[in-house]
Amino acid sequence: MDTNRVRKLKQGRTIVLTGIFLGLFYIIFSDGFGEVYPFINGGVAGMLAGLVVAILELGVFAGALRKKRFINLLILRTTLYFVLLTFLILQVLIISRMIRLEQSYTEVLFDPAFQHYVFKEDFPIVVVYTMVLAFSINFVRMISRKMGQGMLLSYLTGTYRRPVDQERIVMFMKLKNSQGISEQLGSLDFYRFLNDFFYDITESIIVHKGIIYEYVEDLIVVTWSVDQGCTHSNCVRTFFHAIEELEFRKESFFAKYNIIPIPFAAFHYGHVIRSEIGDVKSEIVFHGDVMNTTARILEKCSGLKADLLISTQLANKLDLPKIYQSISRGKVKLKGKEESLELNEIIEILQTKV
Amino acid sequence: MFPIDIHTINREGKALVIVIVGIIAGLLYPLLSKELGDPYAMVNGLLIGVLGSLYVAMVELYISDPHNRKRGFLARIIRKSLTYTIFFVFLILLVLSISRSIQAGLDYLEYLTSEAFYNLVFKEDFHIIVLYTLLFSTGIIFVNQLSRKMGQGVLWNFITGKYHNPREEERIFMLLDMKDSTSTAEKLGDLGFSNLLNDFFYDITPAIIHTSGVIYRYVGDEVVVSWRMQQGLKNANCIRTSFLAKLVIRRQREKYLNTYGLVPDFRCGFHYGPVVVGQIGDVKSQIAFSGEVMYLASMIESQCKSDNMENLVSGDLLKRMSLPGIYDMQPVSSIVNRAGKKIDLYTITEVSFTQPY
Repeated sequence: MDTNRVRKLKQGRTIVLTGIFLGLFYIIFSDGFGEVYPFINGGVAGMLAGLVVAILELGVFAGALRKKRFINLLILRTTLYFVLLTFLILQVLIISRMIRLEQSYTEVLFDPAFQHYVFKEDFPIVVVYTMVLAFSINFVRMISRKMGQGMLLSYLTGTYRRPVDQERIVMFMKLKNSQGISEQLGSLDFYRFLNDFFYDITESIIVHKGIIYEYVEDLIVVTWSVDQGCTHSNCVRTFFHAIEELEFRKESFFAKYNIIPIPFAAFHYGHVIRSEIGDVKSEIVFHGDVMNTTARILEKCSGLKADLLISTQLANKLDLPKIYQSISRGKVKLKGKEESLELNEIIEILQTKV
Repeated sequence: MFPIDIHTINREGKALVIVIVGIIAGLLYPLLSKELGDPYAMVNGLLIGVLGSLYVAMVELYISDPHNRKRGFLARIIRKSLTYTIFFVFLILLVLSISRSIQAGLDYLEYLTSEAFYNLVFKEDFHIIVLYTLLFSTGIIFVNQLSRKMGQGVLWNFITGKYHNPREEERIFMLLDMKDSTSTAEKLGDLGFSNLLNDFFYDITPAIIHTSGVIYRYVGDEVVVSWRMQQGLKNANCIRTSFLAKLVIRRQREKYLNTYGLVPDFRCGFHYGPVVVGQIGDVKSQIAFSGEVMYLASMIESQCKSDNMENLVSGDLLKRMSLPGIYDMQPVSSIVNRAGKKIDLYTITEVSFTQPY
């Protein structure tokens, strides 16, 4: 199974489990532990709700809808989930009664006791509980995405409040001829173009466990832990996956801007100091020679006519799959560096003959 | 006097906001719990809202120790929401019991020992009120802290989608760069230097906020700050920032000497011009500026180094500003922009006021 499906299944499982937990959690608050059936109702409602949310989140909201405004998405999600979940909870309650009281659907629906429960008793609180949960979970999830992968958690746990020394793989990726494109499109359209480009390659990065560190004009910096970046050659795959992703969207770029974005990238790895900096507008920053070196390697791409340059040190750590080939480009003198660095170029092999 | 800590800037305005939120939250609860018609519930809600928010404003803005700001994010949220919830539970209990005793026509102490009070605490929906308080305070504190982490106005701009479509704005930029950072980094080592930078940025933040500056990003040992034209020009705010920051560091110099064996110093370059502002990226979104002015500001900042000046301001910016009497300007040098136009640079110094004996 490909990595993307595994990832989505894992996420789906998390959502469903959360649903079950929240369903049970509410019952503990409202009815106490006296009877068994509220737990079954809560658990079943939570699980079904989790399934609905998982399908919507991983199917519908993961697509083109991402580009909508934050506030519109937040309102859309909250109302959609609220309506769906309220309906679903009502159904679970009715079916549970059907089983317990051995009545038909309509009998339960028009049963005065049930009507009393829905209009006079706890049900409005259940509805408010659902509404508040739907809103706050969506809000936090969406903000967390905006802040970057793992950022919110790092802030919460304070992992990087004291600087931490880590070994990481770094990718610097840039657009070819960005200066020319920017002049051709004008600054506002260039911005839209860049943003479309970033949105389209984001999934490729997430699927391959990359952490987006920052955007600087048309440059995007992504990092991996050495372990995750090397497994499955994730770091290199990110680049080629992004290229394929752009191939799929070639036509829409051409229709909109008359230009197709073509990225090139440099990879290296080494020690970085990672630390949370600033009181207001905090950022978790990387300091280290590897950042500088990778930027210098990227500068060599045009001279060597290579789309993907990688330090030989890193290339040797990777167990490249058969669809890629690593070619040595020898020792290269980098700007501002005393010693020259050995570089490799990685290319895709599109046709393989057995 | 210049406030040394962020949360003492514009205290009265912030207190007012807190009280208004308190009143809304206080009135919201009776509405939700269907006690709409009951005037007692409304009065109680209002009373709890006002008293509670006054207490919160007092603790947040006037009492809490500024040095505690460096505590962790989670620790802050938990500590605050717990202490506030405990306070609120007692406040709510007090207000409710007084109101009920009046309603019942009982003496207050008599009421406290009566069955009705016992019922209020253990039988009625008091536990829901407590839960409501806990959730409400945690929610507000969480969003507040989060917004602080994300930067001034960033969360708000994400929510409203102000920069969802890129737009052009005219802004003032300041690049503030630590002097001798390379040799300092070598002396202190990576970890020590990282700590120094963090302390340095932490200390100069109030100077930036006090003068309406918005921190755009940290790049190595450099901070990029920007102002909307109107706010940066008013009182020459942008220029003031650098002098305030110098003062803050001077006041803290003993701490720096003891911890790092040196006092950080910095240079600033100022320029203004049009930038495109837009929200970029799906994950790890940033509200990013781009334009030649950023590049020019950084050129001006490096010119500071070669001219050995504390600050350099472009003549274009100075033309738009009326410089207060305490500052003097002298022409120093110039740079050339991409279009080949010459930009004159001036340095700003404080006028030295002396008196004869």
